[in-house]
Amino acid sequence: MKYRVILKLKPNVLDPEGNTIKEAGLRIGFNNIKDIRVGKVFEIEIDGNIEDAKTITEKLLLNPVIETYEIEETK
Amino acid sequence: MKVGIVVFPGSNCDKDCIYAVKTVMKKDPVIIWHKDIPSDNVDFIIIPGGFSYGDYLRAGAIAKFSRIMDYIKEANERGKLILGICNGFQILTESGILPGALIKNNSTKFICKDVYIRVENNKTVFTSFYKDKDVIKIPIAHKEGNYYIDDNELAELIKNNQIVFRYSDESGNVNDKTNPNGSKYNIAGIINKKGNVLGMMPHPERSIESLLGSKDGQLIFISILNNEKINF
Repeated sequence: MKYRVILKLKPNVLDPEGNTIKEAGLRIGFNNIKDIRVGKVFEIEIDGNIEDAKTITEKLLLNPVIETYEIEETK
Repeated sequence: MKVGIVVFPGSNCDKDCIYAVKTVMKKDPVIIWHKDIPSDNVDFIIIPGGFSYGDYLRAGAIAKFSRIMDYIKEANERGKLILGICNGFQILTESGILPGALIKNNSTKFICKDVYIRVENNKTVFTSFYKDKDVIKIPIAHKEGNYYIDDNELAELIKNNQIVFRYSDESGNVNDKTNPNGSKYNIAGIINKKGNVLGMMPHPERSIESLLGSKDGQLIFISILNNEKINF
């Protein structure tokens, strides 16, 4: 099975990278940008179900101190 | 005291640590490749700086799964002394041995310069030769040195006196202007509750002789050497 995992910084963790991108966007005239936050996307293929994929995400990919994640099955 | 220095693929401050241990502590360290388990009983383990596994995933995130980490966790349980410098600090937070996390600097840039840090706790085995509120000149060299911890856990750190170093100016003033990377509460180094594991972003091994610009880092190695009898 294939899954897509999105790791995101928790809302209360500052994102200097996202902020820098936002500032650049404002500078070139995208005045409607309110916020940009940067995360990571993983496309993983495993012999297993979504629970297995969640276990892998939590044990291998995630730092629960600063990150949360979303997961979905993909084709 | 037997000193061990851990080497990962991508470590690059291991040689500096070897030099510091030899010249300041007058000890011959054991070099521990991350895949090997040292046969000697090591009393003091240094996890040096660098870019273990290219900082893939997050700084320290891959190193925490290496074989030597089981040995380090066990050494921690037995109360052995562990010092994580820079990437070593990142590995210790990633593996949960120390609380918090190190995220990208506020500037998003790699910062390599001398800074000043203030000794907040000189009652540790790593800092007992400093005076309270001593100000040390010491280099930093990192892109992910922005210490993050949530407010509840920060209150715990403060309450337990676990904050060992804070970024300051030369006179010891601690404020936003003296914070090079955005670290919460200007935190540059913390110790675990038990007091046997110190993690810090600045490099004491690079500040051990005047020729290098500062010898203020010497006292960390001297403190450790003189506290080997303390049991945890």
